[in-house]
Amino acid sequence: MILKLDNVSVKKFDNCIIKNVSFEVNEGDYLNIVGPNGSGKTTLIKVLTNLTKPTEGIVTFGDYKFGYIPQHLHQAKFMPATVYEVLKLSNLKKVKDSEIDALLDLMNITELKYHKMKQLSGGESQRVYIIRALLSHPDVLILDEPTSALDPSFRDKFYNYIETLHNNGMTIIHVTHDLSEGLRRGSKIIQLDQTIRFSGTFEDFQNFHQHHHDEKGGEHYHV
Amino acid sequence: MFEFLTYPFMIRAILIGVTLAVSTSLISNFLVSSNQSLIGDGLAHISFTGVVIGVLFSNNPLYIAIPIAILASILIKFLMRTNKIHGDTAIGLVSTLALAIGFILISQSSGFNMSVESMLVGSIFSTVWMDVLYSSIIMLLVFTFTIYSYKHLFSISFDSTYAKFSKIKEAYYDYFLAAITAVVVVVGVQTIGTLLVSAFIIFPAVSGSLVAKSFKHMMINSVIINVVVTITGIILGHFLSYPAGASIIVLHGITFGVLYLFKLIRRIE
Repeated sequence: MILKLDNVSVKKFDNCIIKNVSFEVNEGDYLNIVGPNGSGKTTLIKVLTNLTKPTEGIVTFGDYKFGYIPQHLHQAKFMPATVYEVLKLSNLKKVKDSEIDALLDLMNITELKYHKMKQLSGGESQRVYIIRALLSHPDVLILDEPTSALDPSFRDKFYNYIETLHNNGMTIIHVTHDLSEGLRRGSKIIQLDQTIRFSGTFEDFQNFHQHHHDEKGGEHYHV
Repeated sequence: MFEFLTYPFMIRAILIGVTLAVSTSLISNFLVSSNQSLIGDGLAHISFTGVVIGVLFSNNPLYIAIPIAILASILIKFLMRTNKIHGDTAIGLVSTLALAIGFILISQSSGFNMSVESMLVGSIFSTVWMDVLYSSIIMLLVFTFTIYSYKHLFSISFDSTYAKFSKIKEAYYDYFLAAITAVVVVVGVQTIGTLLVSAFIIFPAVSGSLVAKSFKHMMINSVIINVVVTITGIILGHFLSYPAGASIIVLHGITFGVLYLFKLIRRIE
């Protein structure tokens, strides 16, 4: 077991952001967590990355190394840090230069190695954060809207690469508001809207919404 | 022409100036990068009161002023980290309160034998060898801390959330950086004055970043700028009979202005 959430709720000023969320992630899973804006995805990610403790419920983490690609970049605006410095210094363990070079090449940003982070575009800095996460050699990769700032041509390349990582044994937790993005890949899906609305495989998801649609005339999701 | 270099008070002034310049510029890079420039200013005000209490109750004010400043820095950090009030607000609250207490103590005590002005703008020409020793020890302490924790301090300043995620003991370094700043500031207030200490925490890093190609470059720039400006300021102060502390700050202001213009022009080109 990689991680397990047991009846997890997070409250902020008496407001319930997420409520009674329970699920388990196992080795080799490719889990998509989808939900609209304001559904508590960001808070759930904070719980998954151990940056927030739940108000109620229990989170259990297995003995695995986690990698994290954040959506919101908290980087210091006035710091002249270069791409190389960020990649070299952001991991607890020592990082080899050859490894940095290989990943820069893979992400097509070799020429940006000595550029300052604050001069990069959104897509360019997101690629740096992807490399930063990969340099920690994670067993589990948590992706928070990873392609929101990437141009469409690179998006496919990015997801193909994630799929390769997954095929090589990495567990993927992919969080997105874009249902079509969430449904294209992976093996499991969780639909979040404060609490879990749906949890299961793609086929189940389609059937569930087909059923839902037929009964209530609600929205129909196409895969 | 270089006769002034034979005066012991001048040698002491330059040694103290340079050692404190190195200490403050090393710390200032991390503080300015993580939007904490005001913490130096706040701690300088608190140290002012710490030194006042120290002068009143002890032969060596440092023994009392240092613990007071460290406690205050921990209190400020605690208030900042609870997220109940904004960081700047926490600094403002604690530092103005401390300054007010300092002035009350001065007004009520007959035994206070230091001029308030000298505490504000410093009296770098009237120091003793013991002060040189203290500021040198502080410089070694800061230097070791920076080298040893460079990687972690960089990560925290750049992206504290990711640092926390990476299991870097972010809170520990945050408190420790504040505490070590407090110690530097106290020694600074006693020799170069409250005003100059605040300037020392802000100017070198900001000027250094204007012409830096990387963060490491910014660190090196800030140390060079601060040391050159400090020595020039002390010598100018001596020859023109200006207060040395104030001269150093004005020189820092000029340096910043020139580098800022240089950057603007280069961008337009």
